[in-house]
Amino acid sequence: MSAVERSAGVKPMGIGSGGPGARSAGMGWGERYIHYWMVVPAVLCMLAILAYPMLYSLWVSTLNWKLGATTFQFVGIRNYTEAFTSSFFWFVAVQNVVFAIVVVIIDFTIGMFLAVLLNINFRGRGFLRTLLLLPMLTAPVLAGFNFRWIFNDRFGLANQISLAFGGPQLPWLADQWLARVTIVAATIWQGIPFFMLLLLAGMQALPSTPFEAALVDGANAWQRFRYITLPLLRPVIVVAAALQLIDLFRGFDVIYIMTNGGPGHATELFPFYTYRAAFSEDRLGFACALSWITLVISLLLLVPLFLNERSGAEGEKTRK
Amino acid sequence: MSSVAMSRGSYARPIRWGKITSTTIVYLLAIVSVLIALWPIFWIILTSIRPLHEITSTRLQILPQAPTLENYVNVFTRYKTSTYLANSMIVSTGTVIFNLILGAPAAYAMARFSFRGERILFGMIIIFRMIPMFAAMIPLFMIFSSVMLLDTLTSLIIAETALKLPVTIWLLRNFFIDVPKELDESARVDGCSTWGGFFRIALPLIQPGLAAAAVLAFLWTWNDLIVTLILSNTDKSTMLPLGITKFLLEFGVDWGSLTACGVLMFIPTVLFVFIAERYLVAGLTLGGVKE
Repeated sequence: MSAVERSAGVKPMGIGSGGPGARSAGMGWGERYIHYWMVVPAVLCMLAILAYPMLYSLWVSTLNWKLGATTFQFVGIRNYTEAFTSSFFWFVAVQNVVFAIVVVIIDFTIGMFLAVLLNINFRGRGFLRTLLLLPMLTAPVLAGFNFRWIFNDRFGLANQISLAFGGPQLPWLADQWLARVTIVAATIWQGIPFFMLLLLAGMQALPSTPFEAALVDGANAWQRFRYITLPLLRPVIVVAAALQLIDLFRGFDVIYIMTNGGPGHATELFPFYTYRAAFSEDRLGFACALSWITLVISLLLLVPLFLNERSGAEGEKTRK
Repeated sequence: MSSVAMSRGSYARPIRWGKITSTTIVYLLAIVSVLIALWPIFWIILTSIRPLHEITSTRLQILPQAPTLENYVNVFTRYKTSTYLANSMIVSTGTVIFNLILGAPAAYAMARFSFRGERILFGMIIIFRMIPMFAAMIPLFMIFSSVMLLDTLTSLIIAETALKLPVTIWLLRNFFIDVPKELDESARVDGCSTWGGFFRIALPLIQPGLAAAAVLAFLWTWNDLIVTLILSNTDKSTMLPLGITKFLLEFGVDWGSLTACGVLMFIPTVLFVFIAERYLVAGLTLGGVKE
């Protein structure tokens, strides 16, 4: 059930919203607005620490501001037009989109395989699930170092194995395509458990009747998966893919640790681009513009979620 | 389901064999996937107990030939790891405490009452969960530097608390919904205030929820790089994820100490994964996927 659905749905009126007269006259001001008193501290905290800075950054994105400078210059939307007309921006955009799509496809494929495996009833599967979750809860910094060490050009495991079999030593992090491969490897390592977890949760919530009917009709395992599991899981797949895509436009740590955006700019994605603009090139206004562009992309990625939610809610209604 | 399968296959071949082979395949696949998935972690643990001459060797040796703990000693003697550890501990714990203090009442109100602005609150929670970190962190950096809070643990706790609040509120709200409304209503009939019902009835009943929210907030703060990268200038407020990058020296990487520090950094994950895992789906999707 979704946020929207729950809040819009009929919720039995709680205490405090019983309307006038429902409560004794002795109810004080504090008690009547109790729900607001309970919510306000958290809301103020989020407004002050998240919403206000974001609006502030929207203002900064219209300025030409250097770190530590006391004066700044209003430039209107010039930071945005500069972004959209620079070829480097589009290079990063394409790189980020392709990266996100490749990662999501691989994550989905392997995550689905593991979810199917974990959906089988066998002894120790709970433990297996926990072990397979560990990469996701590993600090991204640590994941970056893990893979940087494995793909170290001299002493890394990848090259040790290659040498042991008489192969060449590859400059994993110095070649632009190999560096991209290693970044993708580190990212999917952390992303697969996410898909696995969500798909598994989805599978375990599926009704059993369609599967029984299909068994009676003689459908084999692949057909049951292809024509029943996959279509029924569609909403979960959409949610997982959308959330994952949003996170892939937020990913910073792994790249910062492994390649620092390089070689050249071969592994530079939006967050790193923003970081570099702010703290290396000292262009806070431009960096804020970039972070707002990323935010808009993330919000656009949320749209399929809400559409999905709506069609899901309608589906539920018609079923009743 | 099983009866259908039995009647279809029972006369064709003895079922037992099929079952044994398929179980074997399942276990084989399970073992292979765990080995692949956890290999980077094994490898870093193995590296952390190797002496220097084994680390800087191009020969493939899966197991260390001369295991040693010297790297773990170096972590503390050559670098300020203990400071980073302490900072991480303080910030993560502080974040957890403030998250629970601020988040629990809000979650309770959202679970129990219908009020004006509730939907806006939901929208806020969802959007704040997925904002690009730099959209908030660059201005926060500017704000904190203007009020002289840069490079303090306070600023880290403030930023992390706000960033983790959406997930905390969401998780706790789900737990409060599962507490039967009659319980705290009857407390109120007996003369308890709403706060009384919250503290004496609802809160004790959702202890597992508090544990789950605490663990997730702790781990995500413990693992977070961006906040400390932007708000910390010196060792005095550097947290472990930033501290570990100090092992990248001018002349190369001190892989022995780095991997040892990485193993230390990984400990909370292992300790908490069993508590965290059950609530991960709710925490990660904010209710987008039913369980």
